[in-house]
Amino acid sequence: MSARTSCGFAAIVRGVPIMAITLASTLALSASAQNVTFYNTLDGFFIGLAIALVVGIALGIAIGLSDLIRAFCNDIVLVGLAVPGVIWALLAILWYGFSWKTPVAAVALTATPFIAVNVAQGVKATSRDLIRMSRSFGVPMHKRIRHLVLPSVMDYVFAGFRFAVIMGWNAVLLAEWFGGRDGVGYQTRTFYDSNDFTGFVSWVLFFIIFIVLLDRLALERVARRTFRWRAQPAEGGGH
Amino acid sequence: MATLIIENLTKVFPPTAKNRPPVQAITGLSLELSGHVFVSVVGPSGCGKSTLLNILSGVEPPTSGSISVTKDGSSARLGYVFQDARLLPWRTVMDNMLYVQDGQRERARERAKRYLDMVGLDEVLDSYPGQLSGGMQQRAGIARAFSVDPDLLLMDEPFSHLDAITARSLRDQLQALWEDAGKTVLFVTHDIMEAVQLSDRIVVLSHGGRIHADIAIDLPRPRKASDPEVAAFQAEILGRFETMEHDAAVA
Repeated sequence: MSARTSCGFAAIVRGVPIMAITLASTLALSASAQNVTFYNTLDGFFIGLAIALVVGIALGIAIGLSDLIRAFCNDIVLVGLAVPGVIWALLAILWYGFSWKTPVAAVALTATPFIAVNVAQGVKATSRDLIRMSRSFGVPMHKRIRHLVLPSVMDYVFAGFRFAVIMGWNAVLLAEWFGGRDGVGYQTRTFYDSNDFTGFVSWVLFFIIFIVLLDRLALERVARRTFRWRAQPAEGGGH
Repeated sequence: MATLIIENLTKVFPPTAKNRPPVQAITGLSLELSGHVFVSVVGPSGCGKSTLLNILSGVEPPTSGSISVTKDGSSARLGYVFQDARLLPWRTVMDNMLYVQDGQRERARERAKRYLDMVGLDEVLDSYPGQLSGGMQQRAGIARAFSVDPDLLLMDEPFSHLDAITARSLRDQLQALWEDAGKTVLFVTHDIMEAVQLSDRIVVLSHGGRIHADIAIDLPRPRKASDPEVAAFQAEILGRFETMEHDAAVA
């Protein structure tokens, strides 16, 4: 593990006891439904993110490759980017009410434009030499997209996804805050409404830990795996 | 092996700026080559060598004239070697070979393996390009071009970015590979020494993409850069080249 990662990790570890105490008291207060609550939220969050990832990459590549699709979709994506997460959350509530679809839609709608814009940018940066090489050898389009375009935009996918995680987390909490019957957002609101400061803060701290851990542990690990071709030391000389 | 016929090929680029004349890259070029031959196109930079290759590979359309590449009357398969290796950095050497091949995977793998063996890369099949030296990457590029089993092989100054020692050893390897595999090769270079050592025929282009000379080289193979006959021929061609440059400067 890199020095930077372990440093950040150490900071988290140091903060853990305080948070654990707060959280434990909350858990004690609000009985065993807590776990279920958290998993409900995670379900919506991850399904929404998965949709955003798939749609965002596909849309971004399409916009990056085709001027026609760019002309058609670019403004729509920019509008999507400009709409704040809270608006998407409220719209999702209006559309789906107290349904599992609400947080999913809120996350997906908030996160997709971030990924799409980044990926479209990345497609434009694909090496012209490699594109020419592929064209010369007559490599078919589907193979080019999979093995040339997609790997070369992975940097941009990760950059976009990081934003998408944070924006999506916002959206899912807001959707549950205003329109949920359970989930983390709903629980937080309940504590807020009953003026229970400890409970409220412990949930907020819990969000922060969760996002930091997700970013540091999960995302970083996936990134290292994806870019392992980059980190290789050169083998001895030879001509 | 293929037959390449270029007839009256002309390429004019639009002016690079206002009030400048259009750029005449190739002017009425006709060329024919066929069978197991190694033909080099040499010329000073800006003589239209790269444009010619771009047109042949279909990246650039010609302004006028025609090109046909055929094998026994039907259209031929082409292979390319570029100035730099142009490998996908995120795929291993073997996967890079498979990227440009179609058809059955096992046979493609076998073919790739054979040419990687021949250029001495059999031990780095699973390495990423970033782990290899520049010379090894370029050899992978050469193996890739041979492994699509091309009828015509187009090479664009493939050794120009390498150090002299690496380039020399790759030239010897290319010569052996070409004799063994029996391909029609069109080799573009600005290095006359290299052209004389490798080619059966040298086409010298002058500015504006006109054929200045078409010289047959009938020396025994395999040729070494150190052979006296090769050296003598190199000096002669170099002399002609200097005359051409001189004439161009006077005119």
